[in-house]
Amino acid sequence: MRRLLVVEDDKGIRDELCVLLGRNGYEAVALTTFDDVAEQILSAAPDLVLLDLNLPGVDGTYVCREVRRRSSVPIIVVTSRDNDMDELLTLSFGADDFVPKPYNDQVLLAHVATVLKRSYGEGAAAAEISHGGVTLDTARCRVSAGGRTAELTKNELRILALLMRNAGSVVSRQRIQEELWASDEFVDDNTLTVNVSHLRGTLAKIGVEDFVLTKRGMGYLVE
Amino acid sequence: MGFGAYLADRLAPLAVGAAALAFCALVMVVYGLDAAAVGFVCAVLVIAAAVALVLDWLHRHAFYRSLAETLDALDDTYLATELVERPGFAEGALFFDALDRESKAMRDRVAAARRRQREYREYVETWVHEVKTPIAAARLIAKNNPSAAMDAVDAEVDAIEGYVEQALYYSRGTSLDRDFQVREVVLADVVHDALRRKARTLIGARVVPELGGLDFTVRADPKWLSFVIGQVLVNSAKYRRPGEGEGHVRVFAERRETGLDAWETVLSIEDDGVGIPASDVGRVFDKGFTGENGRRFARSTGMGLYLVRQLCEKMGLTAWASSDEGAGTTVCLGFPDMDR
Repeated sequence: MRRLLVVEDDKGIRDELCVLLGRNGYEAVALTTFDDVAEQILSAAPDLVLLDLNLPGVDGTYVCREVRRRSSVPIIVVTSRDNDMDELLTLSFGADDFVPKPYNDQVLLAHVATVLKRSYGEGAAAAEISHGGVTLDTARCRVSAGGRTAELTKNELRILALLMRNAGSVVSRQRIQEELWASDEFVDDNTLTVNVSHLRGTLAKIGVEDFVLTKRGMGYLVE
Repeated sequence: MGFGAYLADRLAPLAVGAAALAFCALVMVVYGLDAAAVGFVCAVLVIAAAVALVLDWLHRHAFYRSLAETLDALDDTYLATELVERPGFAEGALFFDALDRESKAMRDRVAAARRRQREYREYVETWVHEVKTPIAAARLIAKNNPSAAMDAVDAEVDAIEGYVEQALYYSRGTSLDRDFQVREVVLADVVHDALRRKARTLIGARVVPELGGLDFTVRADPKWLSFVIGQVLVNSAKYRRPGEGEGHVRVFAERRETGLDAWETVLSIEDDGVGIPASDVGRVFDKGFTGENGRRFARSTGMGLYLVRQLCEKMGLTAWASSDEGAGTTVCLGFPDMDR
C-alpha cells in the first residue's frame, strides 16, 4: 500500500483528506507540527507528498525546493493560490503536479494516481478494490469473482469503483453522474441507466448476480 | 492662439494708441510741419508697434500651442503641466502655476484612489483564497460522509463557491490592472473544464451538454474563459424550461469571416430554456439587470452576464446574445484572429 504524506495546516482539510485517501486504498499520514517541514517530510519517507503552499511560518515553494534537493519523492502541490505564477513557480521548484483548491475529490484522486503511476510505474496506484467476493482491478479495467474475469468499459469501471468504495451506503444517481463528468464523460440520466444495466450484464457473465442494487428514487447500492 | 485673436484681445490699447497717434499727426499738421515728416514719424511708430506686437505674440503663441498639442495627445489630460515647459511671460507663468497646482491635487487624488482600489482588490483576493480552505474542508466532509443531508449541504457549498468565484472575477474584471495572461488555448479543453466545474448545477437541473466541433485554438486566458463559459452554462441550468424531461445545452464553435480577410472563431452556447423576452435581450449584459426572467424564474443578481462581457472586453473578445422567447437562448463569444 502506498504511503501518502499530507502537509496541510488546516485541521479540517487534513483530517478529511486522510479519511478520503484511506478509503481509496492509500495509507495516509499527516504532519501536525510545521517546524522544519522539509526535514519532517524527508524523515517520514513517504511515497508521495501532498503539499499545501500556505503553511504557517514557511513558504511552500521553499519546502518544495528543500525536499527536492535531497530526495526525488513525488510532490503534488495543493493550494488555494490559483494563479499561473504560483503554478509555474512550484513546478519549476520541483513539484510534480499542481491542483488548485477547492478541488473535486475525484479529480484529486486522479492526480494522485497519475503521479504515482508516473513515478513508480503501472500498477503503483491503489489498483485493487475488493468487496463481497468481487475484486476490481482499476489499473487493468477488469473485474473478477470466483476465478472468472471480465473486461469493463471505462464508465462501468468508474461506476463500480465508486459503488464499491462506498459499499453499504446508497450512492445517488447525481453523485455517479458527477463522478463521470469529472473525467469528461458528460453522460445524461438515460446513458447512466444503460451503463448500469451493461455493468450488471458483465457481472452476471462472471456469475455475480444482484451485486448492484437499485434503490428506487435514491440511487444504487453495493451492500 | 491665432494672431487675429491676439489682436482682438488688445483692441482697447491698440485703439487708444491709434487715436493718440492720429491726434499727434493732426497737431503736427496744424503747426505746419512738412507732410513727409509727419508721415515718417507715423510710419516709424506704427512699424515699431507692429514689430513689438508680433514678437510678443510669437512668445505667447509658442506656449499656448505646445499646451494645446500636449492636451490633444494625452488621454489623461491632468498630466499636461508635467510635460509643458513653464512660460517666461508673467501672465502665462501665473496661469501655468494655477493649472499645475490644480492638476497636482487631481493627480494626488487619482493616485490615492488607485491605491485604495488596489488595496481593496488585494484584500478581496486574499479573502477569496482564505475562504476556499473552509469550502474545501466542507466538501471533503460531505464526500466522506455520503447521505441525503450531506448531498444537500454539498449543493449549498457549491452555490457559495459560485458566488465567491463571482466576487473574485468582479474584482479582477473591474480592476485597472491587466493581470491576465492571454495565450493559445484549445476551446474543447476550456469547455470541458467549465462543464466539470459546473457539473453539479447542470446535473441537478437535468441539463445535458451536447458538444460539437470544438477543436479550435483561440487566444484567451484559460481561467477567465472557463469562468465566462461557466457563467453562461449556469444560466442554461437556471433558466431551463420547467417540467419533466431533460434540458439541453449545445456548445459548438465555427469560423466566420468578419471583413476583408478578417476571421474570427465563434463559440456558441445554445440552450432550449425559457429564452429572454425581446425587450430584455439588449440589456442582459448590463450590470445588475435582472429583467423579466430574473423575477419569474430564478433568483438573479444580474452579475453573471455583466461579468461575461467585462472579462471578454478585457481579453479583446466580443460577447453577444440572441433569444427566442420560449424556445431558448444562444450566447456567443467571438475570438478575432490576431494579425498575422
